[in-house]
Amino acid sequence: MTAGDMEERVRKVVRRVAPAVAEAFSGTADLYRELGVKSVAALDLLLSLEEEFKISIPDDAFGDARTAETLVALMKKLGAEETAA
Amino acid sequence: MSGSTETLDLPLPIDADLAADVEKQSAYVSPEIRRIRVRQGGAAVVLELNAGADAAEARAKATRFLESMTARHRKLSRKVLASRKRPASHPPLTRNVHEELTRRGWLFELGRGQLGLAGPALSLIRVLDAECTRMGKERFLATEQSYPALIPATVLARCGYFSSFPQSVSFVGHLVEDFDRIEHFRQANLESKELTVPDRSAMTLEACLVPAVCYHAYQTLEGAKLGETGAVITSAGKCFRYESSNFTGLERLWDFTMREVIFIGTEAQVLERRQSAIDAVAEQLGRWDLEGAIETANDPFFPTTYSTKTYWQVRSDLKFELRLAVEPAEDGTPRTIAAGSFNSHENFFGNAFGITAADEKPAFTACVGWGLERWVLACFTQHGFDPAAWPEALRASVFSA
Repeated sequence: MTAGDMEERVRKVVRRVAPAVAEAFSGTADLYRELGVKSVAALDLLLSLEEEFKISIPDDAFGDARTAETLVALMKKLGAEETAA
Repeated sequence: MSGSTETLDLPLPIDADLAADVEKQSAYVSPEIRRIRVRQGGAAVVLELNAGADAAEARAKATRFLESMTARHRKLSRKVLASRKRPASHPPLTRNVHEELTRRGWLFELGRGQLGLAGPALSLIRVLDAECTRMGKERFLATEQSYPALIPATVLARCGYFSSFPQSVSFVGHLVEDFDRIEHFRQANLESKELTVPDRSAMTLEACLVPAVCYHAYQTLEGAKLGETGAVITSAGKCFRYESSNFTGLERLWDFTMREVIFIGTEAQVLERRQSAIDAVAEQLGRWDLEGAIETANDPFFPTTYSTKTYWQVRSDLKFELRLAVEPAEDGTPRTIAAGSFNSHENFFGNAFGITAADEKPAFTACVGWGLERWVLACFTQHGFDPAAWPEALRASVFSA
């Protein structure tokens, strides 16, 4: 899986929990402060990522991953590649 | 008390913090459910039903409630920022404080969750308020303001209160301006010793009783562009939260008194001031010789929004509470009550009220609040009724009046 594929899969999840911001989801923009993802969507995003990638995401790491770049990097670090469809 | 019980197994066991919130929120599930108790170490709940309750319906409603509260709950680690223990040489905590205050005429119950104070209990609440005000003014150069007990429903809506805490709202209604309908109401109440509302459609809701002091503060700054130092406001007032069957003496009132210091400014400014307020309240524990701890907390969000909002709040360190030791439970289990809170709202109110900070961004806000009746309960519980046992910093002003 390429970095682009991974980003697209993460975007797919973002599209599900925050449809309005999915297209702007990239780079280093803060999901909550700059892209407008509502704070109440954070738990949805976390649970949906866990479901999509079949992994368990530590809360501290998810809390620090607030951009497309850091979220994609976190998914890779947690081994999401191996379980990708 | 007559009635029956029903036991429901939970899909996954829940921890003690969530169990406490489930029990508290269970007051709002159904008029047919007296209360819900978590049992078997969090693996099951027991529904206590009123006599004649439709058990199947109560069970279905309780299942929906429990699903909302627990299915997506994510347990997060909680922090303790400060704590202070009572010296071992102190006498044990006083029991039956409420009854003793009542017997002495220092406390009187006037309705559900409605209490009056007199004597040293009243002096104490005034001293504590004055001390907190002084701290706000000296430490933070706070400007003092006074606010109404009423808040326009439209303002509370903009504060997001109806979507987060609908179960707690105290609405203020009045009769519509209609001669015939007002006369209809008057006639219905001519001989009545209780309120009789013959036609509820003749009532309209326009305002609410304010559930927290700080909402008015943001309203006063609507559209403001703040300077380099931001803004700090202090105010005290009666606050109102409907707590249903959870009303308990001084511990959980419908109508209670809160002092707040409210910070508005840039993110760094507001968080630094909130930390300074946490340090200041930790100092109060020492000065007033109280046992307590300042730790991570969450608000009592309505069950359908509980998991998502609690997750963000706890994960982002948005709320800490001061918990003071009060008399233990009947079985001896130690108990604490939240007597203060330190809240960060990020830029929610800055956005809602168009307040701009010095960095040209929507202002961040935070507040520190003291629930003063709970401090009264904790002080009498921890220091007792003998003035000689009270700390010098409080003794004279509380007992000399």
